[in-house]
Amino acid sequence: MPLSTENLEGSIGLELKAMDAYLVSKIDRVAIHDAESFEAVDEIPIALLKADTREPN
Amino acid sequence: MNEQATNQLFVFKKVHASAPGERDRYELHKRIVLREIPEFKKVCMNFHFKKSAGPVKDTIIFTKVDQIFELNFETSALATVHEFKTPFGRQPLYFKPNEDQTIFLVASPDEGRHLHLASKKEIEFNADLQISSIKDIIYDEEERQFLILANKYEEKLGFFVAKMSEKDPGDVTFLIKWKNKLDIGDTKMFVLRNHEKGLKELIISFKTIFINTYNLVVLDISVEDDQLMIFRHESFQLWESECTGFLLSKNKDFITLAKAGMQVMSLGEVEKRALVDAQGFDRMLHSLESQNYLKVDKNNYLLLECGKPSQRIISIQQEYVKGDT
Repeated sequence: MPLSTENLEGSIGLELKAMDAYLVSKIDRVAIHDAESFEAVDEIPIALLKADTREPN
Repeated sequence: MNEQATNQLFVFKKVHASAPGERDRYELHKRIVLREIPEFKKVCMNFHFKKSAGPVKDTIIFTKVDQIFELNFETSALATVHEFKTPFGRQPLYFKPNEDQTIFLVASPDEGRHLHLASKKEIEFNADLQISSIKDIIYDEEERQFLILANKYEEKLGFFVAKMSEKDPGDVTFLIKWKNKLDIGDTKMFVLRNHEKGLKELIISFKTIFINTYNLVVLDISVEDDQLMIFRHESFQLWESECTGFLLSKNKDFITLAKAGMQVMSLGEVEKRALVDAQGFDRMLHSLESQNYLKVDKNNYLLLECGKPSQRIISIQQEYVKGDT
């Protein structure tokens, strides 16, 4: 069943058992989702460095 | 294959909620720019907090082509834990310790090593097992064993899972040897437990080349049997596009992340659950286990194929041993 249609190619997911939540990385932020309702409940911003190769962040 | 380089390390600390109803949150504790540290070359992307006597952790264990080393993120001090007798031919991709971090499995796709830290004894296990193209390694703390997923066995392509005792790398049993002549990628393994029912299942997810499917295979590893498979679920996934999956232990849901978005599949005992999907529509999420009644024999497994975009074909199949596979 689809929970989101946002492009998550290259994302990483991780369960946080103690918080009944899971993390989904999204380039420059990490979203925290509730493990029961799957709703995004919080977000952690990540400060990226400027890419020094031709590959984008 | 080009090196996957490290860039920055962010260490977050959990801050407990101050009021009832609030959620715990994470606060940035330390940020280290790893690409400016010369030692951080060809480092494996799997790393682990070093076990400490108290609740405060200040050290992370990494591995790279020639050694296992640790970084104290409070002081930025580096220390070598173990130097490999011969360096790996390429950047290791898998790095898994046992529970007390005295035994490590380190592997690149072509080389796998079992390391006993105290005795500094290194054993290359991939040649003895005749496996290559290693795709994932996990540790099962209950059985004190490592589970290894490989794409090649005896130089033949397929899907092979072996369990290895943490103490004795020679004590190996294959859970499945399935020669399907296909490359697999974006692989993940998880162990799902039900202590009340005494059940233990191994969940393996991977994408396959040519047929462009993302497969979720569920094996029952609580029994000593040749026929372990319970379910195999296929969905469309382009080989060229990255995807990943992970298991949520709360309701035994399997989440996949791909270009098409985030999807959920229920593997638990709860037959159905009402949810709201990505478009805001009310949907009923049925568990794969709820379709068990379709099995004719207890050794059958269900194959849920994605033959056509609008149709799902459910087949009842049986696993059997033919020769060595």
